[in-house]
Amino acid sequence: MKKGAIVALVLACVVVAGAITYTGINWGMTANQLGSYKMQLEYVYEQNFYELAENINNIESNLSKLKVSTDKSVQEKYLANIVALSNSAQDNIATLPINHNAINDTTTFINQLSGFCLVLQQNIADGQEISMDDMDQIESLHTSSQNIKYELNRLSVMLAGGYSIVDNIKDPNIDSSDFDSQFSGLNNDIVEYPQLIYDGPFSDSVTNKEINGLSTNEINAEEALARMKEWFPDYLISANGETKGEFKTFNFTLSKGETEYYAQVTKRDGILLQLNSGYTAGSSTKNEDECVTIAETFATNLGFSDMKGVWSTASNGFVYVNLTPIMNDVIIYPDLIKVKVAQDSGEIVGWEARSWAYNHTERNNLSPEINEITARSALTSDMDVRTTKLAIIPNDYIGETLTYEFMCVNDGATYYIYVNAETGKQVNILKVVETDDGNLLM
Amino acid sequence: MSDKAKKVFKSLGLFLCLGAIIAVGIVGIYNPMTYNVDQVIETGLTTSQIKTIQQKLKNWGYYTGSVDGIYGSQTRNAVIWFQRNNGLQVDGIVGSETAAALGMSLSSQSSNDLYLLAKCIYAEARGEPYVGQVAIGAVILNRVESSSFPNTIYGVIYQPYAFTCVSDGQINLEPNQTAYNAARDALNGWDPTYGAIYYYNPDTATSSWIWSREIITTIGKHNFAR
Repeated sequence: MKKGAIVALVLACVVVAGAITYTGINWGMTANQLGSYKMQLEYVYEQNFYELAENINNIESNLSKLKVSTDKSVQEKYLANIVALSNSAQDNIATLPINHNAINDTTTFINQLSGFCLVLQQNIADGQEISMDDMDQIESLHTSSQNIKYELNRLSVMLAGGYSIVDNIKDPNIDSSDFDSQFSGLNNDIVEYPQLIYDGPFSDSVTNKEINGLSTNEINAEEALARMKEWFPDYLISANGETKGEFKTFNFTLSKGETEYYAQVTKRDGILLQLNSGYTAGSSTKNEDECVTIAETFATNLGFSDMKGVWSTASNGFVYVNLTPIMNDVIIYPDLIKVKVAQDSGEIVGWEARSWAYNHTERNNLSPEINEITARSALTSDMDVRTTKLAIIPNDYIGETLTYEFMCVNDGATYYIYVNAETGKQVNILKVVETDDGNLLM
Repeated sequence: MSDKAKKVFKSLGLFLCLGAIIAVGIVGIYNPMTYNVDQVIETGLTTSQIKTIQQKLKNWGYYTGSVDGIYGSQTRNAVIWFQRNNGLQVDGIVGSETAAALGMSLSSQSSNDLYLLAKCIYAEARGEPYVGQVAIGAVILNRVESSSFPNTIYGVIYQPYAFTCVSDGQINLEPNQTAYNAARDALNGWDPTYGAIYYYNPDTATSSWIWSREIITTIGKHNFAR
């Protein structure tokens, strides 16, 4: 070999070695950092996992104590514990890197457990006892929680043996990961979940509500289109498919000028269920009261009689109006229709009649058992009552109650306080909260 | 906010001398001390908000009374004076504009939920028709209500693997006004899907599981399912 060639070879080797070392250092540093991030993520996941296991252990032990308790105050304590523990367990699950379809049954179980116990707790506070049926449900809840506990204990042993969550979570292109499959025992045969029957948060009876406001007579697509043309004479209207959700609807696209609207007409009875649009509001020329009148007139034109604006708020060039029927001077809040009116043109740009469609019926019992003065005794003495009205309000989950609505002011804050017109007990309190986006009732 | 505060101070400086003269004038013509009957005026403000207003007006020399949380005529006059000096509508009422000029906000409710919802809608559906954007917001809120998902808007949006825009960081884009309007409509109860808790683009969906869900409706490029 020639001397020059040797020198060139040595030089090349030095350059390559240098490059490798340099890359190695860079790479090594990055890997180091990555390793540190990965480790910290692993800790976060493990912390949530162990907290979940701990919460389930405690739920199981509280349920077993509840099974054998007879005293109401003791029962209330365990129920309150279970509600708090299941809320916390729910937070833990939501943070773990598991695909929704691998964990949804467990999530449902924990949410319904908390909802069920909350209802029992309220029943006890109202003076009722835990029924035999409820005790049976507690029994099966306990069995399920035990099985979840065993599954989680199995996973705890795996983690203690060096299983890494981060190493076993999914590649975004694959449907499920090994960590998902570790939870699959919770989502099929190993753990069985009871069908809980109760009227409270997350219960199936609440999610599968009956539609009382619409008859079973169905209209066809042509009729729906004809109605749309009658309601919106100045718009270009075209059919745009169907929706098969809680309500079955014919869908339409409307346009007027630059703006496109989307409308849904129910198959049953053919009412306008929803309208919305991305209407851009210019500077306002109509005030809030004018917009409320526009909403009321529009409802009348659509065949909804006696709808009155009972609440409105202006926000970003739109007024949101709540309309309800007034029957014998009683406000019927469950039959609420929400209307959105643009303050620049006074056009109707939104309509939402789901509550009306669910709830609207003739009400027979509209006279209170107790008089206004008796009902007032449910208010604190420093409440400055401004108006009193009779109102039917929806219960939190199922059914409705006739109440006295007291609009009161206390320390600058406005409250709507609802007092049961039969028992004289407070049933609900709403507070008016001012936000940058208008007033809210909370 | 600091710009606003600067503005306030600037105009304050300009009008300070004039203010002093007017103040002397007011005290001269109308001395509240001699009446000493401070009629309470309806404001819709809490005692602590009124105290804050009084303190600020006092610091800037508009108000000489006590910081007692009572919105009497003395406080009202100070507010009127402040409004006149700052080019605000002169009505003696502390509304949102006067409050802003005073460097305070009357709202007690944060809009974090609205902001996050708007961000998610923008990141997931900015190319979709308006109703499709409302529908995405409605799906998120339906999940909050559903028993098989987390129970807060934050919990639902940041649930691992739930939204592509969270995985790829697009959630951090700043939403536009349309996304805000859609989020506001969804929060006000508009749900064009009537109960959907899933949606996917049938052209790009990779999960085989999602195809097993019952399709409720199609809006724009998305199938909505439950």
